[in-house]
Amino acid sequence: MIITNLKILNFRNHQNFEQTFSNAVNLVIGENSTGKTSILEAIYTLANTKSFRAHNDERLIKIGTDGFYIKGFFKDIVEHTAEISYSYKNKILKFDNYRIKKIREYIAKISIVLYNPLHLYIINEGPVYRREFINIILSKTDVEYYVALHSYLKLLNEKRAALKLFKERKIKFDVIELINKRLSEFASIIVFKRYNFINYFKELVVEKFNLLMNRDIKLIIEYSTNCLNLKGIVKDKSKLEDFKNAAAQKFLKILGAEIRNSRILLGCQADDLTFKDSGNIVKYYYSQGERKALVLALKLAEIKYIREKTGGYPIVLLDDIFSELDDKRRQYLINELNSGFQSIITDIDFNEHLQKFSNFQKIELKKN
Amino acid sequence: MATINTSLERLITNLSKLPTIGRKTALRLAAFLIKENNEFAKELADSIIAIKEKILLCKKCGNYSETELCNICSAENRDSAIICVVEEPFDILNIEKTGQFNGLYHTLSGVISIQKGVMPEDLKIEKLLERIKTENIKEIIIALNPTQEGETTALYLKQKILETAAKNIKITRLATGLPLGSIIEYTDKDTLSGALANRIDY
Repeated sequence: MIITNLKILNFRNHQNFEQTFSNAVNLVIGENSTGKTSILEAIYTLANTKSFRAHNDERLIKIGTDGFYIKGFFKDIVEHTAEISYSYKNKILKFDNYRIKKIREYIAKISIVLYNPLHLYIINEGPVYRREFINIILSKTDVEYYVALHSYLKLLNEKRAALKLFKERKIKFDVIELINKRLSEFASIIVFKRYNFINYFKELVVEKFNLLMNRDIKLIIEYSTNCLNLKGIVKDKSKLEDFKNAAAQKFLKILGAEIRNSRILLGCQADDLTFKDSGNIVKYYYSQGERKALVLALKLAEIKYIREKTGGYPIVLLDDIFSELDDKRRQYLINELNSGFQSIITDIDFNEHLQKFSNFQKIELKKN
Repeated sequence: MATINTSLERLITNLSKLPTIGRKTALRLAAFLIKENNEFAKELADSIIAIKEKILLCKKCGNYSETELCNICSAENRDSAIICVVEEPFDILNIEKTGQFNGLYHTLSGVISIQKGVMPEDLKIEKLLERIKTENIKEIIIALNPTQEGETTALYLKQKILETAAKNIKITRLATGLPLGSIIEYTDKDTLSGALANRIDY
């Protein structure tokens, strides 16, 4: 999928912005605070219905105005339009001029992969960011996962409420047991899919990382969950039933302790990934540059994964990618980006590295 | 703020208490009522009072009714061995419109939602179990909405029915899948994946 045109009204520091994009490399060049990242953010918001750096949609509105509007023209086999407008806390999504009422109808329509320097938090920060990374990829490529995840999160809130009410003796045990059983079912689907995903995805990451670092690194990505012993999982879907039963038993076993403590102790909301290199945990062991390369490898693997799963390349958005990379890695990245998919790359000036791109469109932003 | 006539204000406030009606719509409705002739206002007021005075809930199934037993429960030609369990009385109306179902109904008047404080005890589940014990019932059709709360309630019902019913009772659920006349290209993916998972022999 590619984006051919973008229109923005009152979004971040753009008042009225319109731009066409080529189907290969697009270089967005501009000084600080000219709104380079905001362009990527607008495309990201259009694809994922929310921003990657603001949790509150209010923050996206240009100061002094009441709301924003973004419209994108996309093309895969046919042309599509996507629109998002937000004003007075009211968000309206449209795809091909058709109003979307449920986000799940929209979620996989536009496929993008974004790299932003903030994404170092996948390595540096808590498990929530690593789960988010997995959730976004899987939700966009596997509907069953998306449905299971949403059902799971809803039931988790039900269980929380139930545990609280049980303490006040306002709810019977069999209801909690029931919620718990349903929760275990969705948890096993999620864990099953995450496990199989990581098993496959880690090969892609190691491949990209080794190419990027030009070394043979024994990078290990470990998936951990408290739901179950993962040793027994096989890719075979018929085993999912056994797996569900095992999860149900474990969930039931721990329920007593959860009731005593009035809090949830088990579930895939506590899953995590650990990155290791020769037995050392990457988070403590790698330099800033190496971590950045690893995040980049994760993103390049994501591009490949989406391409394999959906049959088309995603739109690749790279924010400030060339800073902090040395020449070798820059060269590798440029070769990779020259391989025929659409990318939109931001940088502060049109330096000699950027001139190495074979087919690019330059978009210059001026301070207004 | 400009002062507004008190009786008008009273009407607007009352109208805006109705579901899906905000203050703006309430204002428009009030303006319409003022312009209309007196008979219409009387008729409207009477019909509202009439439903409050006349409409009861059927003692057996919980459907809306003007008599103690609703016209479905008291009909002689209906199959009393099948009960269709629904969330609200209005669901009965919709199922009846299909003309496909000739059994009896049971209204739960809600679904289990712990966050909203709706517990199984608040629903008419005990009443249903009692019906299963006393009446000669062969099949229970669970026709609850396929939402999170609906699914939880369905599972709870299944457990309770299996616990209480000594005899062999068949429990079924409404199918989920493609809406009739829809086009696969425009169907959202999870409805489609549900339809695939629940495909039937043909």
